[in-house]
Amino acid sequence: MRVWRRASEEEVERFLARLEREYGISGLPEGWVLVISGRRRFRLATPEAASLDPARQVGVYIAKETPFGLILSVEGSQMLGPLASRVIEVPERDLERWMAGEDLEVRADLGPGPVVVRCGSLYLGSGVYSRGRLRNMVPSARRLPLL
Amino acid sequence: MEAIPPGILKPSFERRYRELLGPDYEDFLRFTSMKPRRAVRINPMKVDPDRLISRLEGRGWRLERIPWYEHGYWVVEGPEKLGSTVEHQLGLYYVQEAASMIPPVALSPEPGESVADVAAAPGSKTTQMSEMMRWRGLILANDPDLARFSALSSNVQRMGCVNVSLTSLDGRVLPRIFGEERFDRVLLDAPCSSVGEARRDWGALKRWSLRRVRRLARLQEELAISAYRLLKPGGLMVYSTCTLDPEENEFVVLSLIRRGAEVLRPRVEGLLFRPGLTRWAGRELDPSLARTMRVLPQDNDTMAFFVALIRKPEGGS
Repeated sequence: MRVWRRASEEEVERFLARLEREYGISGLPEGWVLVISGRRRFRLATPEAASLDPARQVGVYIAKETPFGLILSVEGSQMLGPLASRVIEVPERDLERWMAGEDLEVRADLGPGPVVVRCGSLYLGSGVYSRGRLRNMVPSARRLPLL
Repeated sequence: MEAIPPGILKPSFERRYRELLGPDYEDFLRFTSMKPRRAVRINPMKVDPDRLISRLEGRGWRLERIPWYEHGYWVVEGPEKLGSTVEHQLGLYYVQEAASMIPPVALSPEPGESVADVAAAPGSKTTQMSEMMRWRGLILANDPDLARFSALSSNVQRMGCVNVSLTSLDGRVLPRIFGEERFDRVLLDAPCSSVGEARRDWGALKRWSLRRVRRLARLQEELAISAYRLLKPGGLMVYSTCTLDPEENEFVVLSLIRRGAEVLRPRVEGLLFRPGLTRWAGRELDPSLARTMRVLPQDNDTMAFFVALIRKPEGGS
């Protein structure tokens, strides 16, 4: 059963405005289209992939709407993160803790809200930053087994 | 090395594989009893391969390049669980047996093309082709088994394949749903008796029977004809299995030759293989089947594989 549809121009505009407001990301990578699936989930796909009908699923899940804001998936952070200004860098020593799903204490000169999380050139999904604490939003399926 | 436990090999299997492999049978058994070499495929769409290799080597990994795929590496030394690392969870590499990288290389999909992967789960070849296509164009990745579909979906997500659309349909109905002659290239890595998998799990040898081979061969022929119908005239198709029984391999390709298909020799750099059979059980087969590839476990120290590259002629049916 098809549970996705290509976003309308208006929906793309709204999504882009949220990306800009919440992450400082301006624009989507060229050549891909935005798809809405399920409950407020966003995906990116090539135009050809988003034109195949019927398909159960197209492209890659990049973000979902939550009460904390727009949360980027690991792939969303990898595809859009290089365009973001709200980014928190975690040190290599905290990489495995982050990928195991732990929240981290961090120092950042940022207001509260969602952020892209990075370790060097590796983009690690997103988190929600507030007053020195980085809440982990890496989905359980992508976490490392607990250390 | 572990010996194959008594009772696993059925007398009917031994008779048939001795006949099939002749003097190579003992070596086949020796390699089949050994665990396969571990291998990974680096995702060049997510990470600079040289950078990832340096990173992994800095953590004590030792990698050896697989000759037939530029981003494939044998893991000579590495962690016990290759699927439990940060780099794996981030989709920077995929754990994939080296022989399983052959069918996408033989098919060589190009960026922007449309490709159908008829029996795609768990997605190793789909995600490899997606990377070869540089995340452009379309791959229809289909698998009818819902449990396996979930693994396919997760792997497509983890590897970031934006050019993939997933369906969960019986492969035999795909031309009716998506139309005849719709795709530039088609991969059918068919469900099979999986003798090649015996290096990972001896269950494949336990389950093997001539009856099962014949039952699978009927399904494979139906799937192959369906896959061929999806192919545009002038398009390329790869038919592959991880077994060596002629009924599941050359005879399936023969059913496509009867429909006008042309068999081409795949270009797979650095791979040792045997030509496909042109004679079996006293029967002469089409000589063009010699262009198909039989990969025995001892040839490259991989799992066994069969690979055929097929072209639908312009104006073919």
